[in-house]
Amino acid sequence: MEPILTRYARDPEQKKIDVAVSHGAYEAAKKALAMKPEEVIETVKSSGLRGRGGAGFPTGNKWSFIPAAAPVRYLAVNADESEPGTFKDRLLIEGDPHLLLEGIIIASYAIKCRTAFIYIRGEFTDGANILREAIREAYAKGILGEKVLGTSYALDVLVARGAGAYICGEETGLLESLEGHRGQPRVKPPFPAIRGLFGQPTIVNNVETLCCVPPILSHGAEWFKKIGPEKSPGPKLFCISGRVRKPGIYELPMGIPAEQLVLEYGGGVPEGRKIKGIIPGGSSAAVLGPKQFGTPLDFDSLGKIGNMLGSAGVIVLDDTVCAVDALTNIMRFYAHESCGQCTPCREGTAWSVKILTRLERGEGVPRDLENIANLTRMISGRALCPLADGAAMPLTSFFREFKDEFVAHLEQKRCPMRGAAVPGEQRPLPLESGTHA
Amino acid sequence: MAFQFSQAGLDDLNGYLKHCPKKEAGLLYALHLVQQQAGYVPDEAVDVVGKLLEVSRSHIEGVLTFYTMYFRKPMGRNVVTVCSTISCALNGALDTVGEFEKQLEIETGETTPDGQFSLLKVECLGACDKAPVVMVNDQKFDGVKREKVKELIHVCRKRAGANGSARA
Ligand SMILES: Cc1cc2nc3c(=O)[nH]c(=O)nc-3n(C[C@H](O)[C@H](O)[C@H](O)COP(=O)(O)O)c2cc1C
Ligand code: SF4
Ligand code: FES
Repeated sequence: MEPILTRYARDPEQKKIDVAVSHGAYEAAKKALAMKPEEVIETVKSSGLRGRGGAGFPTGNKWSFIPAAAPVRYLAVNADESEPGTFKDRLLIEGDPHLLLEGIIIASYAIKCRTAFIYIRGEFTDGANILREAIREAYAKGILGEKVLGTSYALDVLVARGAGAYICGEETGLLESLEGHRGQPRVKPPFPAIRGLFGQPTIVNNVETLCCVPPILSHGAEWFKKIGPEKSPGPKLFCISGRVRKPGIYELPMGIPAEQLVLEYGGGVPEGRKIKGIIPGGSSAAVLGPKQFGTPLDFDSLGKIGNMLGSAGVIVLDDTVCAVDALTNIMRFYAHESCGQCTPCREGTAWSVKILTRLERGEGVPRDLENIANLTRMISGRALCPLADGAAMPLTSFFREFKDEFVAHLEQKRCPMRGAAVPGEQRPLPLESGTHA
Repeated sequence: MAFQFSQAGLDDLNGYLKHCPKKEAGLLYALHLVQQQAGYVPDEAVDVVGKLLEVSRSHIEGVLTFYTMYFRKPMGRNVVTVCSTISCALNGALDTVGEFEKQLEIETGETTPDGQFSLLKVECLGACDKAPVVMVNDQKFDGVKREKVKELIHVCRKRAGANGSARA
């Protein structure tokens, strides 16, 4: 497939507005502004575009939920990208900021909003600066501001920085943060499209989602729908990292089988090693064991087996990796990032870290295995936002797919992987400092 | 000494606030500006920000403790943050942290006595294909395996010496 979203993103000149314009930037926006907002929404609806931020919700439908009578509406661009294993939005933000701005203009026009906030994670300093510069250039050229592209439509775009909290990627946590608060998710409903930023109807969209919009306007909904599986159409950025030879970002149609992606694009695992597990959608997704390596990577195929495509952050584990150790690392992340509002999430994630650390150190007790199984049930579906479910997914799946290893840790009173020789390279473990002392 | 926003910072903040119905919404923005200027968020600055945005001290403290990027005490000239979540860990990030601790003779979370380096472990920096990833202040370094740590420290020392501060 010809790259669509990343066609110019790796060209260092593309950041400059003149270069972007010479590549056709803002042509799709002009086209959209000549249409009625409702027609733009209709086009995006019929393209079948689904959100790239994790949930895969149909974008056009979401836009149409804004109450018709609302005098003030907002667009909040989710550029928080903090899910371990995910690094696709960064490429778009830093490499092709004008594609994102164009997507923002079209989306804002469609939902009739005057002010769009880009909420970018605090650690992306380069990205924030690149966006600010791109916005400055766009104002100077009359692409943003009082008369967007010479029309009577007015739009302001602002950059807001986060400050190192993963939960601000959750849409209502993001809105809280934008309002100057701790990023603690709100109870839904009401959904942001009804009551969002500053109490007004708000659409929260992911960076990659918005970058799909200009090509849809340029080439048409039918063209978009023809790429990839019927129910998960359009180009998708897959991030590959972990124990692979060619980590990176690959733009492909959805539906490619997990193992094929790892071998064909990720270059497979290091020489002489075997793939042990594939996490398909960032650390919140369930790990695929060998029997599931053939699963097509798209929203519905993964959904059917109780997994998710999420952010399409594909993390590869090879046979040098200890499952208990890897899971401990992942759970430590969730324990640290739980916002603390819900007891099952706050206590459950912290508890699981304690149990797993104990197992890894060879200090496990028989009840631990039972407790891990119970904990999963206690966390999943019992908290306010999906972070808790996202934490339960790795817990359940690692325990299911690699149960033998958990048992071996308990029975041998040590990590069975410790000291395992890996010819030809330094062994990557331990993942946790101290656990292998 | 009392904290005062630079004029440029103030203009920047006011430009942002123009678009917000509540001043409070500028809080993260203001705190970033403070930290850019002072290197951390001193108590006097909390009062200044509180007056400016009409928010209580306790609200600001709540926000400061929620977000990991704000520092409440002075940090080293080079704040070294090593990503230690899964993709980096799979590629040896913990060895990298250990090497920094050894070379700098401090534990993670500490600052060297000469004030040159602070060492922190952080979570996914969104560059997992370049694992292990290290940020020094605002600058990202890719593929910092254990063997590269010494050289990186050397680069930072030289830079800090040249212009007094590595913090832009
Ligand atoms: C804990 C958590 C973290 C999230 N982090 C992000 C993120 O970093 N970026 C993102 O776009 N969506 C993230 N999401 C999903 C958002 O809540 C939301 O679904 C998305 O921004 C909607 O945009 P889309 O419809 O364009 O996908 C996260 C969700 C949860 C529960
Ligand atoms: S599930 Fe966890 S992160 Fe989400 S609101 Fe509850 S405590 Fe916070
Ligand atoms: S896990 Fe280290 S940058 Fe993502």
